[in-house]
Amino acid sequence: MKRNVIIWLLAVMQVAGLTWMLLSLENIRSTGTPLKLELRARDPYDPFRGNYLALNFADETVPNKGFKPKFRQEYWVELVTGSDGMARPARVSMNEQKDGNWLKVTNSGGEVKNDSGQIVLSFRYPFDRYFMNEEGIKAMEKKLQAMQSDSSMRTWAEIRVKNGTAVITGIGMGKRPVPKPD
Amino acid sequence: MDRTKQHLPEWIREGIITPDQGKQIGDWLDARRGTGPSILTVLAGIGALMTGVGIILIVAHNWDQMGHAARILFALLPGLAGTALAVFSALRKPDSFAWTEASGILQFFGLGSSISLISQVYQITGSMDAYLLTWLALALPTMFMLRSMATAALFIIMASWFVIITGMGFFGGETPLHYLWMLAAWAVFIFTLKQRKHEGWFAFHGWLIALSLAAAVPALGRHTQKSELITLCYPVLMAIYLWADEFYRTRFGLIKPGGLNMAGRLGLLILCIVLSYRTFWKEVVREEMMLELRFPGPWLFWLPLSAAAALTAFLIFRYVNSGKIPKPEVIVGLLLTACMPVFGLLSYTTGAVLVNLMILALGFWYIRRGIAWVRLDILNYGLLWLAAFVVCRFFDFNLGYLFRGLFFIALGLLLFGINYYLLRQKKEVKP
Repeated sequence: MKRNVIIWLLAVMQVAGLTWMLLSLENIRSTGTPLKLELRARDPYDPFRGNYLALNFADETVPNKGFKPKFRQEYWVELVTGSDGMARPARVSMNEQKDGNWLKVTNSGGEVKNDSGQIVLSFRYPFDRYFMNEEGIKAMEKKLQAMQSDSSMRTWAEIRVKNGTAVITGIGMGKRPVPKPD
Repeated sequence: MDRTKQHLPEWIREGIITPDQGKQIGDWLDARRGTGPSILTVLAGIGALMTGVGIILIVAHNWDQMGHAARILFALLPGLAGTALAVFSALRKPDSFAWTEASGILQFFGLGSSISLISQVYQITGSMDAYLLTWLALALPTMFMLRSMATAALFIIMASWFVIITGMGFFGGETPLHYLWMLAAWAVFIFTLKQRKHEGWFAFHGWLIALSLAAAVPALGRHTQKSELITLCYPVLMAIYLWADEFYRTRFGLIKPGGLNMAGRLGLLILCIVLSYRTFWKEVVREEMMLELRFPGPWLFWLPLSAAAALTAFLIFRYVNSGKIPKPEVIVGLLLTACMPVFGLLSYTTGAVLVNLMILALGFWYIRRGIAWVRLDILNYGLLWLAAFVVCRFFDFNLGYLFRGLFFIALGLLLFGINYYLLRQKKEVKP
């Protein structure tokens, strides 16, 4: 009898572990803050999880305030949506923050100067691929090729952010907004 | 056919045992073989493995056409189905080898594919080490639930993969401390088995854990100060392998040596070959390991020495109580662990000479035993040690050509002579 109880307990623990993983991700997808990250994309093949679109984000740097993180150290960046509708990393913090749209990222290099002469940190987002079926990949690839000659078009990844974690909910394409006259 | 059973007719003919005793021995051997896997069990296990791999391959196909709810359901399906089957096997078929092993394999891969599918549904990239960590944490109860050796084997294989990619990562990696609880879980499972398991599984698991630990040592020690001290861990590790093999066989009444025994002997042979070179002692043991080592030193220095001291104390205690002498390789492994820091600092030449003497001693020990027991396999094992010594010295250009040539000829003649002597002795024993 005792053995049966232990068996059921172990099985429930395993199912609970799977369910908890799923519910936490679903919670982010349902109630997280929606944001858009501008990107460039191409298509390699990952045999472990099917075809995917490799995501290269337009901006993976954040202004630094004197932090010296190690290679592959994790920290938080705040994503702020600009007037063009795209979210960009605005601030960095070594500790988790409660207010705002903070996302945990991984340091990918040391301090560098960007084109404006500002000191920035390079990082990688916790997602770098978007899984699609083969037909979707081919269609996406054709659209991207067509867009290369049209600088008014852009692509973005739609994400939902909550408690430092994010899930990708889709890929979007469209025209850049026309800059407003002064 | 079992080698023991092959000799039974001859023993009966020679009057060593009676026909009734021969039948009893034969029945006991058959009963023991019967508790292990039959061809049906093996086929069931392979079938379960292929089904599990097929599930993983299906994961590679995107389920983009389905709605979100349907995808979640399919993502959970492999894990839930595997768990249901495992519970059924554990409750209704706990004594069936085929049911427990097959359902254990299916559930193991089912959980892995569910985790992978969930990450695909939510477009989570993640990293391989995080994926393996989650998979192993969820799959750990399976081997205890089903008492499944196949699941335990898969568990330790995945844990080894985890420790290698985490600790030996191309871009630096980090100390894979999670491996320690994985190892502890596997060890608890193996050593709390109440029923004796088939010798095949014992040999297989022996090899798995030997290779796993040998890979884990550099992964765990790589990010420590003075990581060159990793070399100090291996002699005592080989000694532990040999002692653990003997301990496990005694506990479960197994006769044939397992994978740990063979891995320990092979590992020790390789270590002795490497340590027989004076250059290695000078450039690695002395200059990289021991010089500039400051008290108290990192754990990589104290852990192998403490382990060697503890094992030595245990073996002395056992000898005092029961008169049981440990295998000579165990003694050599412990001596090497003690010699490396001492002679690395005091005199590396003495260290190299001592290792060469140990190789010769082991070789002649087993040759003498092979002759005494009329066992060609033991004799040739001793000659293997001697041959290793000679080959090393052949490529050690400090010795002259004439000396090396004569030594080779003498060793070859010795081999022929001893084999001829033993064959003659065997013929004299037979009427």
